[in-house]
Amino acid sequence: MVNGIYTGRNGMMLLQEMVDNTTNNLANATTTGFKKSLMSSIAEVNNKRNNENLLYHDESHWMADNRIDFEQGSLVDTGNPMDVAIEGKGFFQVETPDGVRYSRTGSLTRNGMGEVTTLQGFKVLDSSGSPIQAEGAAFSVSSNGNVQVDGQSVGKIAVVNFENPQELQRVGQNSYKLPEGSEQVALPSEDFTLRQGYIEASNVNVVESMVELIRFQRNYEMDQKAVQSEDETLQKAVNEIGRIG
Amino acid sequence: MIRSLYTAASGMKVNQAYVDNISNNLSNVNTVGFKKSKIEFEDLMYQTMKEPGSENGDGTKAPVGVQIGLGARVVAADKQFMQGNMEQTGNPLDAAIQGDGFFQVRLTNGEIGYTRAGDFKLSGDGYMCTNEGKILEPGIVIPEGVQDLYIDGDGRVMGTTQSGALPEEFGKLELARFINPAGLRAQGGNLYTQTEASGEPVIGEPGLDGFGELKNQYLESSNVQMVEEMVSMIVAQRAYEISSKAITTSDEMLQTATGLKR
Repeated sequence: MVNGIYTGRNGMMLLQEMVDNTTNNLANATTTGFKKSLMSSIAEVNNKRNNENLLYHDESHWMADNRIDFEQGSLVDTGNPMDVAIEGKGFFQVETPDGVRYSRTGSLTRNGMGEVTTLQGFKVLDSSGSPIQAEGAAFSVSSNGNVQVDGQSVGKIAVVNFENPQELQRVGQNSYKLPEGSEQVALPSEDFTLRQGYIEASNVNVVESMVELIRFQRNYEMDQKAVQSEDETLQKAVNEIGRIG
Repeated sequence: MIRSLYTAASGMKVNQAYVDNISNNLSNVNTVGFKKSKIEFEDLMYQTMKEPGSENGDGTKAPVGVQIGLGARVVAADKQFMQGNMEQTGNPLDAAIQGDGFFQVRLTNGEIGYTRAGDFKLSGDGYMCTNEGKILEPGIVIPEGVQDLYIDGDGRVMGTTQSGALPEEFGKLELARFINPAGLRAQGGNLYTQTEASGEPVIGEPGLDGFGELKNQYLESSNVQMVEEMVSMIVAQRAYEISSKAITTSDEMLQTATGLKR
């Protein structure tokens, strides 16, 4: 009996998290290179027998996971030579104060020393892990990452990928990191084309997200009704069945 | 739940900044030498509810974790130094830079300002200056009564003082360029000043060493593209609306939760 109330409560708490997640996707609908989070829930329901061999309903685990949807975002023409979008699989390697991070956001710029950086000031690295020095006027990036300035080759932007990119953790600032203790290493990506003068738009689909919001809200209301009717039943049990006379 | 209210608010805030920036670009669609800005966003930190690889209740390892993001913020309004269109004016003191570089002017505080707007005038004592009276650096004096004034592709200001005489040179325009022009600080009045991010200016002659060429009697118009800005405005408005819907949803769900207890 009381079990049912907790089931409803678990559902409501889970749905709150799912709304939080969808809201974050929506807030980043205009963030360059953003990849949406897909959240799913699994209810683990078991009918077990206890010591006295009586059947009981064990429903303790509500597991949710959210995977990053690395689906390609649409490429938007900006005409700015410092914008470089990855078409296909992979990430730029950037050097942050906290170590190497991975990012899909190719709105690049140069710092006062002429090194290619992201707009956050993180240095974009080549395959050996060093920054790319690009002083000069005409900046061009070929489809495989070769950087030329005024016709001189100055380095190659590394695009890396992972066997299981789902293991990546989001750290904000449009970047990802490998979790500590991960056995994965960044491998050169084999399936990508760099597009100079384009940015990769966020892959959030607003229609999908709106439908999700409606669905979560209605499910939430249904769970609330379930809790309420459990409550009413309990009330009857407590107040009416026991009444004498 | 309360989390999603703030997340959605951050989404509304970034899109408000987006519209602010578009409006500024649009209001400068006819400003000579204006360079549009592009606003860029980044996601905020994530709250990790479950680490990937952590153990589930039944002893299996979770292949993916649970991370919930907290919204978005503005990371940069990035000046786009793409070439603007060239417009012919017929004015002998107008010069447009075709390519890389800035004109240098002396600001009132003694510092050097940089500009792409080449609609020069003459000050009371004959110096070439901007519309706001900021004198070009190095200073070029044009004597009274000069005829057939022109600026050649190398930046030399030429003219004849007597009819029938050969043109003489009154001075030479120099250009400055930066490793990272996007790092310049926009001062308003079409002026930029140097910052740590822009790097030190490199001074040179127009048309040499990667500097742009000068086109006399032309002005560089604003590089704002109306259609592009209008499309961005639609995107920003819709994104703003949709974040507001997320707030409504969260609010109604909170109301539902409150309705649990009668």
